[in-house]
Amino acid sequence: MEKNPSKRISSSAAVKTGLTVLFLFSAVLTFLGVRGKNISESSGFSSPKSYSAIYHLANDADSIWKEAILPSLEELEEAQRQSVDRTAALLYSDQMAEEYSGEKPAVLYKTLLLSYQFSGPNLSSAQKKRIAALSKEEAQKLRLDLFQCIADETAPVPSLAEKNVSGLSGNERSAMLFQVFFTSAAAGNADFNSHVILLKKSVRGKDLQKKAAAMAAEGTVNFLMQGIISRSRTIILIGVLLMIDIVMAACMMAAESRWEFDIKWVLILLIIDFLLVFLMLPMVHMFASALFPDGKFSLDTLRRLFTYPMNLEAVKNTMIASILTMIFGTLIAFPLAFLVGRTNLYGRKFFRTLFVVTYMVPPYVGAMAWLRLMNPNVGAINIVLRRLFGLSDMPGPLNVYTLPGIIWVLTTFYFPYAFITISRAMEKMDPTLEDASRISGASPMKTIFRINLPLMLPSLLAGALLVFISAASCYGIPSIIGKPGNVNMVTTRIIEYTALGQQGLKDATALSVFLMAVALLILMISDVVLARRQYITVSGKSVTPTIIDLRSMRMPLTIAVSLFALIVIGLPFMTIILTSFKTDVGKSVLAAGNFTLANWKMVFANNETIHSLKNSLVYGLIAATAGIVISIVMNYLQHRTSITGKSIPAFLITLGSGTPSVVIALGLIMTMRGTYGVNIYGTASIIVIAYMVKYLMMGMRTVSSSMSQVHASLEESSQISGAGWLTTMRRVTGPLIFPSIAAGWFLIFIPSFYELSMTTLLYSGSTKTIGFQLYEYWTFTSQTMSCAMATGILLFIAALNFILSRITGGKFSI
Amino acid sequence: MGTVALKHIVKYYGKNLVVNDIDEVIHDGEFVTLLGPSGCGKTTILRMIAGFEKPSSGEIWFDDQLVAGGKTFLPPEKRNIGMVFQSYAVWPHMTVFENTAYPLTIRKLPKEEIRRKVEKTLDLMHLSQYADRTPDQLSGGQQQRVALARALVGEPKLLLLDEPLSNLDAKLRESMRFEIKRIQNELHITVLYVTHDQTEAMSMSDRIIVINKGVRQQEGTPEDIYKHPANPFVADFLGKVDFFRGKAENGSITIPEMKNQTIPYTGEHRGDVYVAVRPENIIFSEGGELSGILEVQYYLGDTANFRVRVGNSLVRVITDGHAYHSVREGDPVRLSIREFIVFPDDGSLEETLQIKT
Repeated sequence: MEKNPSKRISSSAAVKTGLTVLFLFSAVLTFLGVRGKNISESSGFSSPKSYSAIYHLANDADSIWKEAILPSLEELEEAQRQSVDRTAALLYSDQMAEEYSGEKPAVLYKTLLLSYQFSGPNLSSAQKKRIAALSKEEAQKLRLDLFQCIADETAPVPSLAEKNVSGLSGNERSAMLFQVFFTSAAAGNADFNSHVILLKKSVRGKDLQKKAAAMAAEGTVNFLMQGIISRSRTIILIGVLLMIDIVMAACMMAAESRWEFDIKWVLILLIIDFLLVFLMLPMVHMFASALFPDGKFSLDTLRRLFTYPMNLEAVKNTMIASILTMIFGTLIAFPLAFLVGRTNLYGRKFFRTLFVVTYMVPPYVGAMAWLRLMNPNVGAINIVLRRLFGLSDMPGPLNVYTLPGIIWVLTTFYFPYAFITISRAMEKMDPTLEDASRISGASPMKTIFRINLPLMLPSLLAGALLVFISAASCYGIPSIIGKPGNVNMVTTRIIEYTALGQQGLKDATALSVFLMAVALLILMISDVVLARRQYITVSGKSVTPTIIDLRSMRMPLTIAVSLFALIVIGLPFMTIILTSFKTDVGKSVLAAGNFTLANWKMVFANNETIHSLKNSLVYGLIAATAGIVISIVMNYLQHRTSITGKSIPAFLITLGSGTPSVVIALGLIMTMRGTYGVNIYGTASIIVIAYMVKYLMMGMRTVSSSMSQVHASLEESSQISGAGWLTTMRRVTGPLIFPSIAAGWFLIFIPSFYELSMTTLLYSGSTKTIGFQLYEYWTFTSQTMSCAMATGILLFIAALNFILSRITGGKFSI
Repeated sequence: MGTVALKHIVKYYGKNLVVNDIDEVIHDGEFVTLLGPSGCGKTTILRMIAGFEKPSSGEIWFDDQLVAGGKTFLPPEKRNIGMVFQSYAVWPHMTVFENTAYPLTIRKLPKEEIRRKVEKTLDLMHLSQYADRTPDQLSGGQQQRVALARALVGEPKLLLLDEPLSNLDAKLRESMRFEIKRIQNELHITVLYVTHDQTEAMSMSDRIIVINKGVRQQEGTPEDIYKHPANPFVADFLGKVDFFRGKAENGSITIPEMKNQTIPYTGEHRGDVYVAVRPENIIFSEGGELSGILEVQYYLGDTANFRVRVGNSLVRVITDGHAYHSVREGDPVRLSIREFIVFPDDGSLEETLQIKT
């Protein structure tokens, strides 16, 4: 199998040379970019795009010179021409007039043409229109006449320019005549005007304008130079990325001592590049701008977390809420997972699905429901409680607009996260481990405490930490409940500060760095420390856990779980649905005249809604499709090849999913408006990219679970049967992993579809999504209409879930 | 407590009858094996004795104590039994020492006594040098010995073993067989062993109970069962056997598929019968009663195996290795059957033999 060794050596030498050349090339590219950036910054022009405009203007001016100015000059008699030349030189500058010897007339006229665009005599737009409307011959005639007027003050002024020069004499008159001339000369060149506008925007001040005009007239900016300068930041980015890629490629090749070109490395590097730019760059930038606020190391920004009361309050609230949510969530989830997974509770499968499905409900919907249920005045629960206990005082007894209110909603919303983690660990446990304890003399209770709990502790902690960080990163719930209640959390503050613009950025950064640091710490604990301590307790046999007979407690416990499900899941859903049919939110839907379909009609008749719905669908579709393609490629490399560096993208993707949404969005805002050569601020791209960074993990994990189960021998036996790679993929691997691909797609699509926290920071007028639209309606317009929208979203998700479970043969549903 | 009595044990899973009227007594110090194909109900019987399952009807007695039956049901933790599971079930979060000490710590014995007993047991299992290791640092065989140590440390009178060797490789399995036997001899405890492996059953047991479809087929010493199987299932399940249809008459059995060749027979059966022949009971002999042609032979070292075409039947012959070169493929040979078993033909043979592990 070994290739000819001498050939290998020569090809490896070629690859090494190629890499070196490529590295040098990218270093040169970076160098050029840096030079370009320096030139553009020292030029005083406020935008690097000026150079592009100057380059284009030089071309425009050149063609105007050739087509309009020079022909007119050539038709003049020699004396007339000298006179016009001198006037032009004089108008440009006195100094130039003295020196002017009739050389380089092109530069002279082009300079004058351009500088008059900045600060020449003004023509009315009506005048400009009239000039533009002239035919070619008329225009030529006009220009010749104008020159003759300039050369000889007594010559008759063309009728078109008569009004302009009336009452003027000397230089003023000549200037006006020149301006009319230039207007006519440039009239045929549409690009010229747009380039002038572009340049005007970024070149302010007389000296700069003069400089720009001279540069264009003399043609000092060539094509390459303008390209490099106007895109210098992008060139630096590409150069640096290329250098990183080449170094990584070299490391990979060295690690495998296989110096050949392999498309797999390119794939890995492309994915790494994507994540470097859109995840690492924003994060590093954010940390850097927090630690080096003005280029120098300083802890001022971070100190504001504790010294500025508004920040401290947010940090405190978030920590209290997240810790308590974690404790309550885990305390609820553990017994529930046990009852549902290991006992003969009635309807355990139903409850299991019910608790897991909650996972897919947008958090703001839950918040809306609880706000309706526990509003201190008109909340349904409060009304019932007051009636039940004969309380007459209006507000209370429960008030959702408080920190405990937020904690309650966060708990009802995030306990499923712990439930899923714990259930999985419980199902995976080999039941004979418990049997062994029983036969050793331990009672069932003792067995739970001495065997089950210690064995499940890593998973339990992982679940708890997941609840903690999800609660801390949540924006939907605190924004809907906390804002009116004036309970501020880190996420809501970040978004408020960001809305303030530059002056709020410092505090937004400080809070984001704090949240990010907490998230990183938790990611590290659960992925490194806990994952290593997770015991492999799965035996070779298929595991059927022993079901514990609850006996006399079976019915009471079933009722308790049902009540819990009713309160935590049934009640909020009912509230949302019922509210969507109400006219007056405060009254019962059955109250006279309160039932209406108007909200629903409004949802479907509203252009805004339809537009944002379309946006959400499109963004979700793109994010999910691109995400699943990356997931498939990455998983293929990870499970089917031994290629070095295959786990780097997986690591970055995990990092992305662990980063709080708000932080991702803020990081993207800070870095993606051109500073680093990418300017996608306010576009749909930035939203789709944010979704991908945050939710790629969903696809990765789902595809990975099935890919690792398709043993390579299944593919090999297909190949040995004579099937090619493509046929094997189509007939064997494809069908086996298709359900997980579909599931992974939906798992990226669904959260992207209803996303709120990132979109709140990234949207622009035309890129609003359904989640944000709903939030806006809820806050500013109509709660009943938002409930109709929320019901619509829930129905849509339920439908997707149904489709998913159908096409995957029931193997996957959420 | 060393005697276990099962009285008319019946177990249903839903409407599924898995154990049908098992009535057995396992005596003090006895090594009894429940042998049968997978899914025959043997593990269920074991789990009922352990207390993990409740019999649907019938009683289980330990000596003169009723542990299951009627309204009485003693949970596993109160039965003082040692048990070893197929998956070892060694707890990954405890060291070897902690695993072994667990039954004693549950009983809240003094620390010093626990240490002494655990050390003694680990010594018995040759595990002393691994006491501080965690299970993931041990091989499969070592983990199994930890499981055994844990089962024995509480000095139970009864040890239950649920296919304990099936996850080990062949060589280790053989040495563990002797290990288990040695420990039983040293500790004089009652052992109930569940397996589908006849070699394990034969090599260790004082007595074997063969079970199929939840029904006891036969019980007896290994030799008994091997030599005198009660029915074709037992004959087939233990050792190798070939069945031939024949007609028993006075003095001989005619076998149609062997071109009506006959073998001498003086037993009590008449009419349609099955002749069950174990390959090691056939020899090549010049004056043998059957004639055929050698089709295949292969050499296994300690034995040599042959396939001989007799009429339409293929007859398996196993001899010691020396016979290998005495015949060649294609040679006409004569065979003599030294021993065979005759079962009356009730037409159920095919169905019986379908069940294999």
